[in-house]
Amino acid sequence: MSRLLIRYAKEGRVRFLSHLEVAKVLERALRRAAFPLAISGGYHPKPRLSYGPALSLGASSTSEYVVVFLEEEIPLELVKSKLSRELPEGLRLMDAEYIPDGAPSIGRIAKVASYDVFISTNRELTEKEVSASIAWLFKQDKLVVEKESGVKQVKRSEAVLDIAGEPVEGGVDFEFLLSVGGSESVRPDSLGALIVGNLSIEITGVEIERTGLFALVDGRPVDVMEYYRRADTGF
Amino acid sequence: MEKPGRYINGELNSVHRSPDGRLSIALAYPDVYEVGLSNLGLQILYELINERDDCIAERTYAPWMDMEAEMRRSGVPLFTLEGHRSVADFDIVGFTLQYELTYANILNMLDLAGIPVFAADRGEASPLVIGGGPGAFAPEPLALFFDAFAIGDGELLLPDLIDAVLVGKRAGAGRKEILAALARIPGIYVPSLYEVDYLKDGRVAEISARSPAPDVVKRRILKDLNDAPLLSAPIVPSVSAVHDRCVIEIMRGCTRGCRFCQAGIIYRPVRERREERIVENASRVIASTGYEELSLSSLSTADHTGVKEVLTELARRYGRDVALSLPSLRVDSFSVELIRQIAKSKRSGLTFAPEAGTQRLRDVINKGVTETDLLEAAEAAFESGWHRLKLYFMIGLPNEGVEDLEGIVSLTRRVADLGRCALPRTRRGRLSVVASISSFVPKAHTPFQWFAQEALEVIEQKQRFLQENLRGRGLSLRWHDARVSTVEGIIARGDRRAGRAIYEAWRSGCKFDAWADHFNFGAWLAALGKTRLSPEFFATRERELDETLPWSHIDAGVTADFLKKERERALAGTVTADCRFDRCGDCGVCSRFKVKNVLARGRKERVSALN
Repeated sequence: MSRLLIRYAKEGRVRFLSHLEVAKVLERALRRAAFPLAISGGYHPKPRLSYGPALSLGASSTSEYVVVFLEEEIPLELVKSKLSRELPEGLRLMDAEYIPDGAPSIGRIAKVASYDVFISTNRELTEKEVSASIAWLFKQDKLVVEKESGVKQVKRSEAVLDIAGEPVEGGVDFEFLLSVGGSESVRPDSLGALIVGNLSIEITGVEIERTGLFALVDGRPVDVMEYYRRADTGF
Repeated sequence: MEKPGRYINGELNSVHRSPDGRLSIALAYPDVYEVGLSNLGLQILYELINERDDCIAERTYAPWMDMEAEMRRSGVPLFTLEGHRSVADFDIVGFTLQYELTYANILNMLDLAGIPVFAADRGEASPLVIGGGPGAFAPEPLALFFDAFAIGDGELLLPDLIDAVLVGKRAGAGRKEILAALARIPGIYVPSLYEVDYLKDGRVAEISARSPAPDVVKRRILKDLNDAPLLSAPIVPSVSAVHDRCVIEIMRGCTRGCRFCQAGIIYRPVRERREERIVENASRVIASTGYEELSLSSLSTADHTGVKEVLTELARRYGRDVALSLPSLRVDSFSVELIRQIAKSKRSGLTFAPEAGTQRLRDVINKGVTETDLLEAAEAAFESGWHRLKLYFMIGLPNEGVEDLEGIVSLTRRVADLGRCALPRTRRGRLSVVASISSFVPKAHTPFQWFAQEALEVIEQKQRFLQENLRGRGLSLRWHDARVSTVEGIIARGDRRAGRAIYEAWRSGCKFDAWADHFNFGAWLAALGKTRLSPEFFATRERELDETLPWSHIDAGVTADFLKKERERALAGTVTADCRFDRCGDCGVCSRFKVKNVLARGRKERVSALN
């Protein structure tokens, strides 16, 4: 059995499809591409697929991942050409690679994600306001954020790795590097709201794009695709 | 907002083309996306239109209330998914009429589109609003809102309709001229060209046509389903649809002759698709969609003369990757044998429709099912490993007595007893037999079209009787809201004035009436009251045999004499055989429309196989 790692983008209107809905769309695209999909056993046999961390509804991404279990390897060139043809508008194949035997699963290694977050506000902000607010956030030990399960406290130092921000026309552009998956994590829109909320202005809109997904090697982020490519040769 | 994915399009196989210089048609389903996308008829029309270079089809569905509120608040009109174009900018808006309780949604969608709700108020710039599907056979309650109805098989009607509109538009013809041209097409009904007069007592006196409209609009019938193009690339929804699978139509029409059934009349005769065409269709659709489930659709799939061979071939080709399913089962062990062959899991349970509780009443409705058939089917199901059975019954049928209700109780119990014996001890505890009870609504063009619908109070009394008597381990009971059936019955046999009630109901906020949470019976009654129409007049009144029925100018194919004869036979409890395998019942469709039953395996072969 081979594990095929696919990186794809989710852009435009399809960003309103939920994680499960995208999963179904991908599964059917793979069926149409007639890849030798490995099928799970049990009452309802299904192709075996596993996904990177879920993206929130409405966010776009150039860094979505799915692992497809294949009964035999097919050339990557063929994967790219065939699957590209089958993906609907808004889902774009970006890269594909086989995961080396013995390498850990994507769920185990993907720890950090980067985001571009644009927050539109009802008045223009100054560079000073933005940098002061970011500095304020880094002074906090705990962040109080809303999650599906209710209002939670998370450790700032574990949830937030890096923030850059600058005022632009109509709002603020942020780049975030955040933990994903674990309990000590914060959603990019919540974090943006925390920072800007500190400035007593009104948020009129939020646009989020996930730009990268990373493993941590010696505490440093390494792009997951890169991680597996290097896993063959060692770090 | 709930499920924004409903509104974004970009689904696989949706077609995006510029409307420039093309006739544009918005295909509309008056319910939410997930329901509408599952409709096979619209998918067929969508492909039919988009294969032509001179026209385009895009789709629109009823936005859910949260979306509608947002659209009205920010002034966004009803739009199509493909081009996000305003529906009002299309040349034609085509609604499929599948169920009476979606009609208020049609008015709401027109209004949301900014199209005048009443056809008479539409100007040159407004689209032509056209209805098709089973509802077009009893169109009068919608006559005020529609410019035209298409009656019969869309594969024939749609090309003629498009050509006529194109010719008219190119010649610079106005709305009236185009409608006159449409009225000349066989099977197209233009209601504004018909005058309805009423008697003092409110019944229809006469329906008269103005030139060039014909006195009677004759249904268009496709002679042979094998001549129809195969659906090749149906749209695959990104948000899960109600029926999220590929659907292959394997036959059209049914001649079993159940006397309550409208579909059994308006789709006659039986037209089976040849086996190799079905398999070819399936392989095309599987390749173009990637669906993981394939359903063979028709009014009674087990009746297709080659169904077993088709299933065997499909299982051989796709058994590993694609699950096969049958939408309807006949009440017999043959059907159970079929489903056993293809079912990978037995989780979902099986459904049978004996419809009535006693042999006497089943003979009245001509449901050719005996108690032995049902018990054999149930036994086969239990022995094959199913432990959940659902039995469909109707109450409120003509001539129904208390013994027929007792029959429902005893039949359901016998099935459960059988389950207890047939299931191994370890699985006995999971036995579940559900009696699902709907209330009978008389429909136009059926032998039962003259009968009174049973009064709401009586239906509710009967439901209570069943509730009190159908109790016990492994037994359960479900029923439809009889108030919904009342509204359904009013519209199903209503005349033009019933349209006023639909209008008032919509004005008072009725929509999504097919959704139990949103159905507002009080508002419907108030709407009827406002228009001074009584539910009794439309629903619970028995019609005279010589009465002019509001759909008497729509010719569905069978003769009125045949329907009357069938009504007589019902009252006498005499059954009528299926003309596919037995003698012709002289319903008139074949002789009057030059068509005949088309069977994949020939009648003789089938009859000898049965013996």
